[in-house]
Parts: sequence; C-alpha cells; structure tokens
Amino acid sequence: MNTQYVAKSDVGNIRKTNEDSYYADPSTGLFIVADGMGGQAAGEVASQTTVEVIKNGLSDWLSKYQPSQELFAKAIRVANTAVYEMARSKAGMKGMGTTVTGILLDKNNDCYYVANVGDSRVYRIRGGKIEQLTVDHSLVALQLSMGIITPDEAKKASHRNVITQAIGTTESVNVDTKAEDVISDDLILICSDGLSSLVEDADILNVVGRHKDNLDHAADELISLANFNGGSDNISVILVRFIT
Amino acid sequence: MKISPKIPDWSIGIFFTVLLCSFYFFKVGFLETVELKSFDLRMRLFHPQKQGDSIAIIAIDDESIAKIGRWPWPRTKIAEAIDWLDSAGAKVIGVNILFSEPEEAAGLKAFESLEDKFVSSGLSETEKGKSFLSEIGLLKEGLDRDKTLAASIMASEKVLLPVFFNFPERKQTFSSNNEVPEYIAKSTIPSDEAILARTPTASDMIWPLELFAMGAHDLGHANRFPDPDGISRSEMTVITYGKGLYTSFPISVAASTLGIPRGNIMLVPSGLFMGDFVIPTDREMRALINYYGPQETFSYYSFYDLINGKIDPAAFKGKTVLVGITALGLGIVEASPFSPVFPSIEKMATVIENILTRDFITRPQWAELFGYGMIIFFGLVTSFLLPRAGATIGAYIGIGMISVYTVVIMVVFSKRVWLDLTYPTLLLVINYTAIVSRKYLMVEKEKTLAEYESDEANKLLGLTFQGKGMLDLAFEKFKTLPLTGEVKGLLYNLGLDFERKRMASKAAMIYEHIAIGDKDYKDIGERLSKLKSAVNTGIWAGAKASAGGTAIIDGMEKPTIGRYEIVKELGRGAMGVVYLGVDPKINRQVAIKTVYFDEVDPETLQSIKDRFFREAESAGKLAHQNIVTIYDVGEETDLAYIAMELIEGKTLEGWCKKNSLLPPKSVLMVIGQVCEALDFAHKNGIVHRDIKPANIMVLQKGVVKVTDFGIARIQSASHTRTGVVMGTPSYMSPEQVAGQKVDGRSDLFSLGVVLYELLTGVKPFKGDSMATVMFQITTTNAPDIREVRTDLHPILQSLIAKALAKKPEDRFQTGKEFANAIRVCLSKMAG
Repeated sequence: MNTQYVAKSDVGNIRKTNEDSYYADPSTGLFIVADGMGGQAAGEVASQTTVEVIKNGLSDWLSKYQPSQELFAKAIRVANTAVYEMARSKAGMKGMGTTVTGILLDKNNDCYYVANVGDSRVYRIRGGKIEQLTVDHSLVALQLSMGIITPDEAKKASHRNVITQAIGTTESVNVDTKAEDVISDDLILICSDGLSSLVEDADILNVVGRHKDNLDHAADELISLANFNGGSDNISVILVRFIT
Repeated sequence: MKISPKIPDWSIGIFFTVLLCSFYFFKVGFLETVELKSFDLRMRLFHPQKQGDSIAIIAIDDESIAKIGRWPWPRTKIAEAIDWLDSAGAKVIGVNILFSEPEEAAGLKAFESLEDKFVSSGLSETEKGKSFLSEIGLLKEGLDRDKTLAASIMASEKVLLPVFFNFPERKQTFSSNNEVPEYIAKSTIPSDEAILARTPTASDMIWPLELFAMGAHDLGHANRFPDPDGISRSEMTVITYGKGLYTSFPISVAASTLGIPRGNIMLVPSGLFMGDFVIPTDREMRALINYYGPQETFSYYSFYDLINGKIDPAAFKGKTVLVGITALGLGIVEASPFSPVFPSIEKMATVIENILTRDFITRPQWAELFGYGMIIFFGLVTSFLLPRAGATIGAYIGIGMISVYTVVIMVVFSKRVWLDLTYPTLLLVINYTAIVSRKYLMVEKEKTLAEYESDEANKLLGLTFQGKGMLDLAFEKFKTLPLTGEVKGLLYNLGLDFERKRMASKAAMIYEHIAIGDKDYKDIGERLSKLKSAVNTGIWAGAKASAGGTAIIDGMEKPTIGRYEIVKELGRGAMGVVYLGVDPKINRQVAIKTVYFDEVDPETLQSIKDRFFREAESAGKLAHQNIVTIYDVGEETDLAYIAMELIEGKTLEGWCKKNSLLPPKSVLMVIGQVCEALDFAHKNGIVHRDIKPANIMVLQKGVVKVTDFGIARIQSASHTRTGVVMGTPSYMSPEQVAGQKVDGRSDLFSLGVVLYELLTGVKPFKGDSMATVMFQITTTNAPDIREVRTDLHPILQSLIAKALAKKPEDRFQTGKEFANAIRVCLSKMAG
C-alpha cells in the first residue's frame, strides 16, 4: 500500500494566529489535524501539544505494538491528559483545548483507523461521493442526531461552534474510533472546521475531482475556497490517497 | 516493568504432554492406581454374565468346621470327599489344600514305638509275636490317614493339588540349579530361556508329599499376585522355578478339564498358548481376571453336606469341582474389583470359567502404544486448538473430547479390551486447566500490561512536559514509573535540566529518587554532594542567597535561563546578576540581566511580574543605535530576566575618577549620544529613571549605548531589601527624590549629574548619608565645575547649570535640546 498526501494549513482572513496544528507522516501512517482554542497563544499550545504527544507516543509504541484503534485512542487520551495538566498548571493556559481527528494506517491489515474528538472532520471521497467518517462532537450534531433540528437549521444555527468534547478541557475524554478498509483510489480528507463549515460537500467533491492528479492543487484550492467564503477561521487540510 | 518473554500456550501444552508421557513410561504409582480404579469401574459396569454352571465349589465353611471339628481335619475326611466326588462323576477335582507335611495322627506314634520295642525285644520272632506284629501293622495302617488320602487321590486320577512358591525379598538372579523330584517336575510345561525371563522366578518351592503328588493328576501354583492396592485383578499364569515353568492352579485345573496335555501348553508373545487358544497376558504373563460379580457367582456346596450325603451326586456330574476353605479365619480371602472380601477359591473358579468360556479381558500389546498415541494426540489438540478457542468453547472441546474418549474406552472395554483411560483424559484436564487458567492469568498479566501502558503514557507525558520546560510536571509523571534503566535515564536527564535551571533542590530530589533504585547510577552521588553543598552555601537560587545571585559551579551542567545557556557572570547590580549567555538557536551571545522575585510578597508577585513584562516589552520596542537592544524577556520560578544585546565596551564608571578623566570634548560627545538616545526613548514614552555612568556604555568605535531602560522601576518594586533597593541616590532628580511623577526631564537631570562627574571626577551632590545627598539634590545648587577643575571652559558651567536646574521647566526640555546645547558648546570650545 502506498499513499500520496498533502497537508496544508492557512491562518484564514480574520484570525491573527493559526491555532491549528497538523501532522502527516506516511511512514508511521499517521495523519491528524488539531484545531486549538483558548485565549492568547494557548490554543496553539493545546493543538501543538496534542499533535506532538500523539506523534511521539505512536512512533514509540508502534515499535512495540501493532497499530490498533485502541493504540490510536490511547495516544489521544494521553494527549488529553497532557493538555489538561498543562492548562491546570499555567495560569495563561487555563481553559485551553483542541479538537483532534485523523487516521492511523495499519498496513499489515490493509485498513486504517479513524479517531475523533471535537468537530474537525475526516471525509472519504470514493467514486464521486463524499462521506464523513467522523461524527462531530458538537451540539449541532447532537441535536441533529436527536432530531431536534433539521440539517437546514443546523447550517444556520448560531451555536454551530459549540462542541461537546475537546482535548484538554476535561480530565478524561471519549475518543471515537473505527476501522475502515483501505480501498485503492480512496481519498481521505482530514480538515478543521475552517474548511468544513465554509465549503459545501459538493464544492469539495468538485475541487478534488478537478485536481485528481494533483493533491497539492486540490488542497490549495480548498483553502482558497474557504477564504473566498469568508476565511473566518484557520483552515487545515490533509488529503491522503491510497494506492494499492 | 518488563514483561517476561512470552511463553506460547502451546509450549505449556507440550510440556504437560511430555510430562504425562514420562509418567506413563515410569508408571507413576498414584496414576496407576487411578487407572486401576477406572478399570474396576469399567469392570463393574461391563462384567460378563456367567454362562452355564460347569464349576462347583466345595466350601470347607464355618458350618463344616462347626460340625466336623477343628481344622486341620483328619485327611481321611478329604479322602472321603474325593471318593464321593469321584463316584458322583466329577470331571476334575481341584483340592486347594497344601499337603506338604505328613499328618501327625494321634496314636500312630505310640503304635510305631510299640512296634519298635516289640521287634527289638525279640518277641516278634515267635509265631504269636508275628501275628501280634501284623495286628499292630494293620492298626497302624488304619491310623495312617495320609495313605488313605493318597490312595483316594491315586484312585480318582482326577485330583489336582497346589504348590507354593516363595520369592526372594529382593530381585536377584537365581541359578537354575534348584532341582525338583521327578514327581513334581512332571507338572512343568515346556519353556525356553528367552521366555523364562518374562516370568517371576521363585527362590523356593513347597510341594505336596511324594505320596500325594505321585497320584495327583496335575499340580499348579496357588500364589496370589494382588495389585499394589491389594485387589487381585490378574492371575499370574506361570512361575519359574529352577528349570521348570509351572502354571497356576486354576490354569492347571482348566487344562485338565479341557484335556489339554502339559506339553501343549506354552508361552507365546501374546500370552499362554493352550493348545488351540491363547490366554492373553501382559509381558509379565499376568492374565486379567474377568470377574462375574460381587460374590457367590458360582455354586457353593458345604463340605459337611457333601460327606453326609445331603447333596444329589448329579450336581457334580461332568463338572469341575474345586475344594477350598472359606471358613472365617481359615480360608484365604482376596479383594476383587467388586468386593474387598472375595474367597480365593472363587477367584480360582473365575479364572477357570474365563478359560473354559474363553472370555478374557485383553490388554493388547499395542495398548501402551495406543496410550502414548492418545496422550500425544490430546496434547497436540489441546496445545494448539485450545489457545485459539475461548474459555467456553475450550471447555466444550475439552469436555467433549473427554466424553467421547471415555465412551470409546468403555465400549472397547465392553468388548473385553482394556485401554488406558486415565493418562489421556488427565492430560486433557491438565492442559485445559493450564491453558485456560493461563488465559485467566494472562488477563491478570494484561492488567499489568495496562499498568505498563499507563507507564508508557506517563513516560510520554513526562517527556512532553519536559520538552515544554514544565519540569515539575515532568517529574510528577516520571516519579510514577518503576525505576528501570530507561526511567533512570529519563530522570537523570530531568535532573540535568533542573540543574541547568539552577534549581538545585529539585535536581537533588530527582537524583535522590534515582538513588532509591540505584545509588550508584552514573555520577549522581557526586552530583548530589555538589548540589547539597551548593544549596548549603546559598550559591544557587532556591536557597536564600544573600546576594540573590547565581554562580557557576565547576562540573555542573551549563545552567540555562529561559532558552539561554549561561556562559559566565558579567557583573552584579542592585537588581541582580548580569550573565553572559548564548542563545543556542542562533548562537548569538547575549547579556542576561536577572531580577529576583524571591522576597516578594506572593500576593503582589503577579502584579509585579505583569508590570515587569509591560515595562520590558515597551523598552524592547526601542530600536535605536544608542540604546541597547532587548531581545527577549521571560521569567522562571523566582526570577525574571531580560536578554539583551551584548556590548563589548566599557561603562562610564571608569572615567569618573579624577585621575582617569576623559577630555571634555570626548565627554560632550558621549553625553550627546546619550541625549539622542534619551530623546528617542522619551518620544516613545519611555523614561529611563536610572541614568548613571554604569548604565552608559562606550563601545570601541566611540559609539555610546544606553542600557537598562525601564528596569529601575521593576527593580525598586521587586527588590525590597533595605539598602539594596535604592542604591546611591546621587543621580536622582529632585522630583525623583521627592517621589513625584517623573518624565524625561528627570533623565536629563541625571544625565547632567553624569556630565558633571565625567568633567570633574566628583559628584555634584555629596554627603555622608543618603539623606544628605537627597537633601542637597532638592535644595543645594551644585558647586561650579571650575571650582573643582579650573581648566574647564566656562560654557560648560552654564550647560551644567541648566541641566541641573531644580525645576524641570528650567532644564533642557528634551534630549534634543540638550544635545543641541552640547553641540553649541563643542563649537564654542573648538573656537
């Protein structure tokens, strides 16, 4: 199994700093995006720390253990502890947190594990269709799943940015994980809500469809599109294509 | 915590398989007993039903003893029975009574001694004497009941008698020199040397008296060979004595019944060949006894009833009759799989019946091979299949295999074949238990594995925190880890980090933690003693250092402040120590000024720090060629620091003495640059507040740099120790002394003081005490400089006078103004 990938992040039009962090490494098979939050530089610290812990933890553990959903979730839980304890110990970091989502490849089993905390997203684009593999930990998603609001209402909801879970804000966190088979030509999109809240699914499909052979251009255009639509938040995009 | 190398499940299974095989090979006592008990169980479940009634037992029972008299009876009683049975048409009569000694009949001895005396007296020579002697002979003959019995045995020609063998205490080889008389030897069966070795060899033989043996149809050994648990499960078919091979009594009786001649009986590999069939035996020639039930499985007749004609002779016609003792205390009793009390005579009858009906239990020669095969088969199945199955499925598999195997073994037994049940099923149980309990233990192990994983999490957290400079948090995490070599390494590095941050007591705490596990780890002993002395002498921060400074100690890790490595101490000021540091990122040398907060009231600490950063930040914005650039500000536990441009130059302090004064023009040029710097700073809203020779530096090319903008305020606020905070007030402006709000013009007054000092070598306001100096500053005009130094240009006095005006509005209003005045002076002096 081979992968092509591109990972990019953009500060957007409004924000002064980029509080997103990401990590993409085809050798460990880890591709993650974290969208930090919290005043001053704390959001950045939270997302950076999270990415760092997951990266360092997995690169250590994968030398001893097989990749698994549990291993991926464990790394994320440790990241939660790290951010949580840092936030508690430094006044300026109080209340900081981050989302994190991404995939971990299991090359032996031709599959990958999807993990998520927060409202950053993993999509799978296959055969001209786009499917969200993660379930947002957001109030809107919760309300949608409960049938309290309609998808249209969800798009307009004022509390769209309220998330129900984040890394570093509580002592423990429930990491959603699942396993998916690697299918050749599948394209995985991992992004922060700076993209997903501003670019429609159809437009994402359109962009990646037009830049089939150039993921770099696809990522650039996705970011441009998000900025064109307002660029109200930091925009991070990882595109991974499986080639078997 | 290290996990021991994983032992695969199958190796445990294989281990027990091999163990069971070796038990099987060595026939471990208690397992043998278990197998024998299972044999008994099978026997009880599947014992054969006796067919027909071809064997009768004449029991010398309690009733007979009670009615005939004490045992031993006169042998004529036995003779009577033999005669009776013979006439009743019995086919074979086996009398299981050993007649090895002549009977001591009462009176016979008396007659014999009477006869001897009579003969020796010579009276026997007479006619009357001769007839008397023959009378005695007749009487004697009547009393010699042995002869009567011998006659009966001889006459019937169908009586078999037992012999007994004794065995050596220990196994030893016996010479085949044990000779037996011909009348005994006739009862042996053919043998050859190779087969003899398989049979027990007796050391001693007890046989019937010649007169009985001569007439007996055959002999057979009546020895019993119960199993170690006391139960007679098998018949020793033959015993070797001397060169002869003797069949057992029941076999001899059976052979006689079937009319098999001695010469046709021989040992073959599978057992005892009986002419046209084989009694299956094991290697030691034991034949398993196929019992028919608990007791009285044969027709018993009382001896008393027999000789008193109470039994219909037809009952014995054509039958094999065994005569034996069953009376309590006299009879020989054995234990059978059915019952702990089983008359030996009935066991013999059973053996005979087995042979007559050819109904044998076989333990085939391949039984042992089969046993090994099953042990190995079950071993492999459990070793490789069980670990893959869950505990429940495993249990089904295990119980299923045990059940199937048991049923098969039972069915096979019902076909009279004995195969081992115990060893293979035991292996199933052991392997199931071992592998399943190991799974349980593995769950326990996984718990420790989870602990190990939390160790890994803590390690990762510790490293993360350490990487972010949060050493205390890092230590908290590392502390939870077991002190393995790796963890000691992690802790050691953390200790070094603490040392770099000059947190001696923290570093010492870490080394002490390592020492719990390994007090000789690397150089921690040495480090600990150094750290302790550092703490004790108060050199390091964290201790209540009198100077509040930091010294660099030989052999220590390069200390750091923030990200800067400290190279050496450059000097000490009232506010703290100045270090030469290196920014490792860009390898730039920097000066690091430190401010200690160690004596600040914790409640106000935060506001002080906040102010410090505010001031430092604004000072950091001052980018001017005559102002020392501030690169970075930061804080660490108990101090704040400012990293700034490192200047290779000298402060003006060196030119303040009378004998080391600069030329006035040079002084003016220096002060002029300071004016430019102050002008720039003031325009940017920054007041220096601490202009003095020590804060003005002259670089090699004559460039002047002003340092420590804004720091005075921090210092005064942070450092409250009396006498240290204030330093000398010599350069203070009147408004500073008065504690009023100050602005840039205050700096210009201070600069005027510096100018005065540089030109004259003396301070304009002097006093014995701080209070005097301050008084003079506010009230007294500075002496004319020409009073101090006569060669100075008069214009300089007017410059000084304006600079040192008591009221700010009377002085130069800006740095620029001051600078312009200096330029005017310079041109006047030049002119």
